[in-house]
Amino acid sequence: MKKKRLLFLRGLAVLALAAVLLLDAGFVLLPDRAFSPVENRNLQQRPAVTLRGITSGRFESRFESYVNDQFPLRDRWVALKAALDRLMGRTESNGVFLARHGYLIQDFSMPAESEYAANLAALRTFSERHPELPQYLLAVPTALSVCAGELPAFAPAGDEDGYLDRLQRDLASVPLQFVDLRPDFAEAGKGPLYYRTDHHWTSDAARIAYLRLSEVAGLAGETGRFERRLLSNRFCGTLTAMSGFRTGERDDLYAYLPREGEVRCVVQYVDEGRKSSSFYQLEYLDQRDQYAVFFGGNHPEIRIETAVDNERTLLVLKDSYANCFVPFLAQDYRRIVVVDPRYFTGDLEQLMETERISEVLFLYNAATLAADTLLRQDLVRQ
Amino acid sequence: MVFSSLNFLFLFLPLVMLLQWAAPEPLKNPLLLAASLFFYAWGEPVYIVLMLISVAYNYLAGRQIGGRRDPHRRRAALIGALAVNLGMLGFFKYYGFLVDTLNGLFGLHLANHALPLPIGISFYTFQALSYVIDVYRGKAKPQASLVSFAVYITMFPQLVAGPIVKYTDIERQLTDRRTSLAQCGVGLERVVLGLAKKVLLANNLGMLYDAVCAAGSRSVLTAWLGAAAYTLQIYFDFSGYSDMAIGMGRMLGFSFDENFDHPYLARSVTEFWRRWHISLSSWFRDYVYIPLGGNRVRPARHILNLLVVWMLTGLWHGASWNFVLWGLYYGALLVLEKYVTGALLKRLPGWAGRACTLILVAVGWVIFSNTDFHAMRAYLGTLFGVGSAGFADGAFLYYLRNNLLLLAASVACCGPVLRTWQLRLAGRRPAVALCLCAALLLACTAYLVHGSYNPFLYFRF
Repeated sequence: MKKKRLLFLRGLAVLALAAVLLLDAGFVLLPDRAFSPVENRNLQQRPAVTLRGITSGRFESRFESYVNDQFPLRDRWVALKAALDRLMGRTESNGVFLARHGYLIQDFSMPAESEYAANLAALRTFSERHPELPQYLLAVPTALSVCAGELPAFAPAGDEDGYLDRLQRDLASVPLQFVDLRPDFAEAGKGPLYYRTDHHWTSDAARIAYLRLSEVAGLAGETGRFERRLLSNRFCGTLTAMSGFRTGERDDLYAYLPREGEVRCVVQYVDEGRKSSSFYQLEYLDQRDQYAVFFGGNHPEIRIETAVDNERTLLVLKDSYANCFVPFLAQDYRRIVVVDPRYFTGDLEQLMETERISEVLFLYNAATLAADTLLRQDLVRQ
Repeated sequence: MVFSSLNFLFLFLPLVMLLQWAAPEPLKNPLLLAASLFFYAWGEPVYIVLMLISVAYNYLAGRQIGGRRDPHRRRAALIGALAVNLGMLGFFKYYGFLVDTLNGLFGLHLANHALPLPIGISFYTFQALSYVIDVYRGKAKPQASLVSFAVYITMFPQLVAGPIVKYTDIERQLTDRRTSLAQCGVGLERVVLGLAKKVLLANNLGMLYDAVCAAGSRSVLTAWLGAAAYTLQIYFDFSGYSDMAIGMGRMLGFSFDENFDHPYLARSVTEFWRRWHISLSSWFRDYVYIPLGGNRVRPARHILNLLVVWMLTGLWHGASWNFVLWGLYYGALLVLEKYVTGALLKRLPGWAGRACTLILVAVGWVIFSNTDFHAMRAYLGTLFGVGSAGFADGAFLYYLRNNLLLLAASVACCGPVLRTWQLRLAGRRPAVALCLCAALLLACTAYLVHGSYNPFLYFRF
């Protein structure tokens, strides 16, 4: 064997061993992390050794996740992988498109026919059970259909528009009123409707939706009692974490805060047993998921008492899109009960009776509504 | 455990290698056996019992066959061993398939208690069979040490996905093998290249094929793009695994035969199968095709032999009819090449033969990858414009644009050119070659840490 080749082979063996030992030392010595702010998820901890766990294979798979999650410099490796993906010309990662003008846009996956039918049947059953109550469905289009022009050319995205069209048609014969936001969003030129790095809509988009709902439901129809304020210019949303794309970029996060003394309320977090006089929890601006500044994220049930002098009580069945939207309603309803079926375990019908609900609003983004399986369980539970 | 996982590469492998180098001679085999059993038991400890039974039985069978003089008794012992090995393989791998097929054919309602497939059973059963048959034929002496024999069957580099190592090839290395730092380097180089093939190329190509398959409708070009992606994926997936196995074997002091020889450069289907999964095709040649008479028989019998061997090859790949169809597809192609088109193919220029072979192979992989017949028919249809969404569409451009570099790199890696360059570089500028290896290893680690998509196609077998 030639001398240089020999040098290479020996060098490779020594180098590889050194690198492995170094990383292993890091793995053993560095403290385990509980949470990854970059990926916005809990990390696997060292699994307990049990005979049952080993024979079933559960221990082994958890141990593998543990090694992956606690690997030294994990965040750097993830960033390197995303950089390599971009270098290779990838414009899609983990169901997130790398779109133009700094947008990251989540794909929409059409629900299976049986899933769609089950959700539709539940909505219809619920709606026909309460013909006396005004009911509205705000199925909010996501950036995928509203900002379709920003997607990479020819991106094979899910047909969210088709889904919304179909839902609107299928609900035409029941009291539940489908409120279509797409024309309003298409017209709205000013201010971004979605965060670039997050899957949520902005407070500006929520305001447009409020104005649209006002016309349908007879609400105040103006937002002069709120003031648009910049809460953060360092918002880095979940799509960044999901895709690994654009980890360095930041969004502005605006909120419509009630002007001094204008919209008074008591917000009661039922399961947590906590009360507050504000819709906002500003301490979340110091955390990774700054969208949680609205109500502190999702809760099973929130009751809002306002100073409005009428007898209107609203039930909101919702996902996280509602969090920045609900404050606008506080100028129209005496009481608002906000239920997130993904976490709510109570009896919905009973709740409606005791709270003397007079109107119902479903507020979901199209992607969650299509994929959700928990709302229908609350709607048709006997 | 799979090779392309962090706990294998950073914990298991270095520990085993350090122990192997440090251990005194008599402890090497017991340690390697213990490591291999741990490797197998990781994630699926129950079936280790089955493998140990197989090891013990074949050890005894080998001694029985080798120890007898009387040809009738030898023959009886061999038939017994064949029955037990094939019976075990048949029960664990094909029982559910057989029941399903009978139920389907005759409208029966036989209960189907199909068990999950024991990992690697097709590989270790074939190794055990090669051992008992070679002992019967007098080509190998029966192994006296149970530990050495167990090491042959269970050795972790080739345990779960091959290559199928013949006992006669490593008989001596089981008791006498030497390693050096440079040999380790040779092995490591293979491991790094194999890992890169698997993690950087195959996994990413797999995502492209999955995306094409998931789409509701596709154009002709999109379908061909998907088929090309799968064709490349399965090659890099499996040959990458073989590279890693061969490399780790080398690090331990074994030298396994090559399992792939640039199969996509083949100019005919016959040549393709001389270059693809060589250890399997030579197994079938030595233990099935030649005993049936090979090609030294009348043409009708020869054709039958080919079809039987290829049906079995197909079935070996999985307990499903699409694998049988895939095997017969190759059987038919080989018969055609032998008796009809072979002469014509010889007169074609090399590139044309290659192109024809590649197209036939890609169509074969579509059959191979679709266990569901409806999906297979639909996909094959779109390849030829039946039920397709036009000839080309935006999705094709999108997938092409997103994967252009990946596809180009993959195609480049199908030939020997890059490997030759790399060898030359390592011989002239070792520092540069080292940096290259380090870069590949870094990239692989990054993809493994992120770890979202990492299947092994050959784990079903």
